[in-house]
Amino acid sequence: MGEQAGEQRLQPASGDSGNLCVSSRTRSRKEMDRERVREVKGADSGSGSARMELSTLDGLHAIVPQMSGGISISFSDVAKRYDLRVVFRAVSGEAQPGEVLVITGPNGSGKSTLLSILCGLLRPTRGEVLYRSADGGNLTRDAWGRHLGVVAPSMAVYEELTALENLRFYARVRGLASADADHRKLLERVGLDPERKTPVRGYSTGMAQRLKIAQALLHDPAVLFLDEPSSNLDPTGQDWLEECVRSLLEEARTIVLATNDRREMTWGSRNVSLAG
Amino acid sequence: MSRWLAEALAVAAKDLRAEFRTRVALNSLVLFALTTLAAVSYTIGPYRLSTEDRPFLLSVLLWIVIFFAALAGLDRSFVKEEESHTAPLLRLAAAPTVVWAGKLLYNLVLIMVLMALLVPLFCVLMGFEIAMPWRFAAVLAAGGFGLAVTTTIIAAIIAQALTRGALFSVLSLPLLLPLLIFLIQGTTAVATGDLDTYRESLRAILSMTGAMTIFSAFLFPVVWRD
Amino acid sequence: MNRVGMTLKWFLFVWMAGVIWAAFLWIPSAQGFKGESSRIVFFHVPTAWVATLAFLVSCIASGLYLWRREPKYDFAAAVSAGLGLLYAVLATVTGAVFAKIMWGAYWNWDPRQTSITILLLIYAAYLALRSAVDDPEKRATLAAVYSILAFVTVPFLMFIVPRIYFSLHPDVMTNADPDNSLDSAHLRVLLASLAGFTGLSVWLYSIGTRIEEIRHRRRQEVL
Repeated sequence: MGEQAGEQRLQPASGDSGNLCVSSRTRSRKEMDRERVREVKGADSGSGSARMELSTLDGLHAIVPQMSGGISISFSDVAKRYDLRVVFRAVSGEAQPGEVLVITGPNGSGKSTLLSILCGLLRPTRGEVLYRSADGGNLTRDAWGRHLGVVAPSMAVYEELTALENLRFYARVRGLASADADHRKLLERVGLDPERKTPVRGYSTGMAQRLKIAQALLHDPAVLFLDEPSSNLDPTGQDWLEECVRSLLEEARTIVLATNDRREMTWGSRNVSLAG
Repeated sequence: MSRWLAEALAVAAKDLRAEFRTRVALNSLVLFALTTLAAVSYTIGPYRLSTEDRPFLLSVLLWIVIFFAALAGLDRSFVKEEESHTAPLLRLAAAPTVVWAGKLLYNLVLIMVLMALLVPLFCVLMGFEIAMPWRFAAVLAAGGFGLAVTTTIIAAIIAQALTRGALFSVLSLPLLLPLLIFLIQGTTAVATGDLDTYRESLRAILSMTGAMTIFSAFLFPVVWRD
Repeated sequence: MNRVGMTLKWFLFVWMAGVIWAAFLWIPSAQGFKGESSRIVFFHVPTAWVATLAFLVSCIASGLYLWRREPKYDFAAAVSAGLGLLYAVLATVTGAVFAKIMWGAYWNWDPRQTSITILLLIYAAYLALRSAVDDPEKRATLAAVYSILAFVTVPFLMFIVPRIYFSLHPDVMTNADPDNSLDSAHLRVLLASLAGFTGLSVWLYSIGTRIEEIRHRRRQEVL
């Protein structure tokens, strides 16, 4: 496993003009950590704190696809077994930046399990998953989480907290230098009222789904895992989501999509199908 | 380092805020402790024990109440993350040691709140007289930390198992028994004013807690990420 | 391999038979013990020794599993924990019988009895944890972590707790108490018994790991 990891980072080119440029460099992990510390310090001084996480949504159409980097995912012969119950055997596939890999299969065929393995939450019984950055180096499993955004029915946000508190929490544990203003903007983007004081427990499933999407986009990830993302969304929400996915692809994000929804399936450029 | 601390504090603050709104863990801890104390106080009372047995037996009772209350509620921190399906996103977002430190801090706050309520009440109801109150506080603090460290890593383990109910107590008790013995010894010593025994048992408590802390810090990422 | 294995098994059989004969018939019962009670020492000490050894093996195998992530280390840890549980029960029972004859009670929470009880509890907890996780990788990892945590607490039990409480247990190995010390003939039988029991448990261990290997291979075939 390579210690080197390519990172793209969005930084304001000049002051507050709002122009975004992309820098892609190769750094050692230590250097990256130092970089993150510097970012946090920058936030304290109050200058240029609103950067990384806004680019996905604010710059959805503003960003010209000039990104050279991105992270590609490949997996080969992945199998998962619980004692004598085999979920699936020997599944392979890959997704390059700017592509959608669609995983289909009947209920109970292991789509969500495969997704969990691909994002590093579960160890496969056999097989290998690789994250490769633009310069060809492999990312260590520990580093995957930093580049991932996930929306899945089996992964919930905290229902005792409000939407804003949830985003604030995820931003803080990720060490992001984002301010509340950014989180409010992000919530408005996904169609939620940022001033709503009720905990997420009182949300409808559709609203909770919107919050989950906001959570996944918060840190501007290079790789997105979507497990039936438009379930429980109203038609407007579904349109918005599709548009959002298209612009993410233009920004050379890698998307892995597990779905049986006919409309979502049309987004894909590659396909893996799991047998029942 | 300061960034790590800030992230760990964020985890602890999130848990405390959620706990403050639902009060599931604190309720089970405090109610368990109070009902046990009521039962003990009613059946034994302040006069039933002979003078020479008092310090030892009251220390035993105090720590048994605290330990079993802890076993009734301190697994919530991790079990709740798994039951409400919030664990996967936390795994992806936060560094493992950050989660460990945050949860440890949260458990520590819970156990300290429990002790702050229970211990004075216990001393009053049972007529437990302490010769060295400040050293008693030191034993309580060290014991609370040891309890929090051990239950945090065990809770992380059992949260991933299929049957969680009894498993928490079954796994915790063997690891906590030596600590329980040292704590009872130390509490008896501060009650009677035996300075040498107090020093010896505090050293044992601290070295055991220290070993547990170091091993937990190294092993927790393995438990959490796999 | 097979012939060597057969020879070793027969040798072990003869050796253990010799130990049993020597323990019951050859050696006279020791001074300072009530009646024939000293004879149980030849079986009690080896079982306690194997129970402790199995714990050590289980912990080392657990550490190796976390380091190398190879299933064979997980099998080694699980099999020796199972053996350890069996031998800990045997040591507890033989110890209780001896305690009844010598001191008049089966159980008095002597520090040594406390230690073996906690060892029993640890083994039971370890095996309960294993049965509560159905994902093989996760089960191996969680069990290994628990095993190492238990290993951290054991020194405190073995060395510090007995210092706090007074113990009736004879210190056979260090000969601290001249009344309870064994003479050289007794010591020879005891050492022979120790070797025999160790050999027996190594054999049991190899059978256990072979069974686990076969189970593992069958599951791989299912996949």
